[in-house]
Amino acid sequence: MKNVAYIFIAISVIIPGKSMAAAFPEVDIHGFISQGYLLSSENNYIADSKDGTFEFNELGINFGTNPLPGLFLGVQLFANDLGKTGNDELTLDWAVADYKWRPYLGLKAGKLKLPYGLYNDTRDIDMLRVSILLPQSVYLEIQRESMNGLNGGGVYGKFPVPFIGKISYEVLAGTMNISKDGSLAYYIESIISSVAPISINITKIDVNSFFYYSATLHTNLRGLLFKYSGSIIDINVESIINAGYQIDRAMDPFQVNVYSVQYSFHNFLFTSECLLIDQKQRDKFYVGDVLLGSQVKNDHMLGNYASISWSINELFELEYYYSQFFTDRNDKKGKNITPSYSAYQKDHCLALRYNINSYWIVKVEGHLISGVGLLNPSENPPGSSGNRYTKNWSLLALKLSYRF
Amino acid sequence: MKISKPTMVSRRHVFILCLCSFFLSAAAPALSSKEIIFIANSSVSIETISKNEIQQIFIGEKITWSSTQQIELCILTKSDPLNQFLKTYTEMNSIKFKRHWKRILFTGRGTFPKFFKNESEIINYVSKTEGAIGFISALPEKVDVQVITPR
Repeated sequence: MKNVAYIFIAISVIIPGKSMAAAFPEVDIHGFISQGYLLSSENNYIADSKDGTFEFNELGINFGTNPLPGLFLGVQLFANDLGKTGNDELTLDWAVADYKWRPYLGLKAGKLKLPYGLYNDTRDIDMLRVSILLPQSVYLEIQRESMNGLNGGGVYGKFPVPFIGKISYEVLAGTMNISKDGSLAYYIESIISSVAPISINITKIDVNSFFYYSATLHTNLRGLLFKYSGSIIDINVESIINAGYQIDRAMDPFQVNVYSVQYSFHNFLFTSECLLIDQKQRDKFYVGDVLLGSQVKNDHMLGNYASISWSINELFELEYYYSQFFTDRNDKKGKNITPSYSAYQKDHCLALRYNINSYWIVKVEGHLISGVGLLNPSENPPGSSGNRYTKNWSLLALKLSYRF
Repeated sequence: MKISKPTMVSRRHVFILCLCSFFLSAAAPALSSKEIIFIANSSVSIETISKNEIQQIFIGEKITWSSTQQIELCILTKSDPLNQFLKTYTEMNSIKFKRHWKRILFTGRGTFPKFFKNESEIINYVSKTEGAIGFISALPEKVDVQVITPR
């Protein structure tokens, strides 16, 4: 937070007034604010949605300039609240130095957004899509932190390929800061607490290295593109303390792969994406220095969705998507898990967006959901019947956004 | 006597045809056939430009004229010329085009172009701004901008 405050102050000082525009490069300032509401019929999702919640907002402000030809310098500050995470704490969303030498080669460094799939880098920016919630099967809230951005550098560009179209690419390398109090830590703590009657606390999450790579084929068939994006992440949850017990969790470098296809036809947009996550983790249980035991766990998650959105006119847009997520793609029906419907989450979503004007947007969407594979156990304590979840449930989301 | 099935089939066909017509009519943007005229500041030392370069410039892939001159991009938001421009040079409609630029702006990939509601404003800005380029639908008689011809 201190760093963010320093940057904010520094930017405030260096931003020139209009009268100084001749001496300094012009700085563009833009931002957005959104406030949402979630209400679910049964399970709590993302926040305490069963009772209805307003803990669902985002705000961001960015400053950008071109001090030299081809060079872009910019920074965006961001805060959000999403249930128990975010809590409107101001963070540095991105801070970038980007030099575009030619259309086929650009270089950038700093804190960079990760453009997984077609929407990951814009998941916080409500105005850029029709639906409020992105399909959760591919854009997982639990992975939000580890998929948001990295500190490092990379290259990107776009070049023509005869007879096929154009290919754009991006390769990034670096590391990232994942908070021990953030959404990933909270999720891991919840999962372990739900399977054992213990209270745990993650003390540190280290990302040793992070490699991201993507290629997009923009075909000669106007509006049709294919994208592959992937990453290899070397991450360690160094220790988990449990009233005298210590758990060291070592994860093998895990892979995230996203396959995307999109076709834009007049006012329609057809999209389908598939996410594959493979990771292997080894837990060692200690009391003091004495090793009590260990376990190895392999995760093979799968998520995919298909969507169609329609810009009816300049004011109204409509989207439908079907999204499905499986915690283990080798056990889609949950034969090895109790309850079986916690092995998946299948979601039908219908969303309507109304563009009040160029700056204000209001959205409403409804979800019919089967399964609880993406729910957080700690937000859903067992009821009087002993059941934590309800298999079939629905979710209503509303959101009002403003940008400048 | 045999009951004729074609009645059922034709009703279904009519329904499907109506549905298709509805979607296609809703999808087809209303466009005029007017020409698009590209104008640039007199400091820009080119007279012709390829379709590929126009596309690269207006979607933010090409941002410099040379190693010493930044492109100052100007967009006319008046619906007829904008729709005509987008149809000819990009794969987007106006909603997708504006969203494309917002994505660039809010993900740290560049600065926003300048948007103008009418032609006199964009001509005035282009004439006074080094490296500026924009498009209009009609060229007034006395203006201090150069016309760039697509090739």
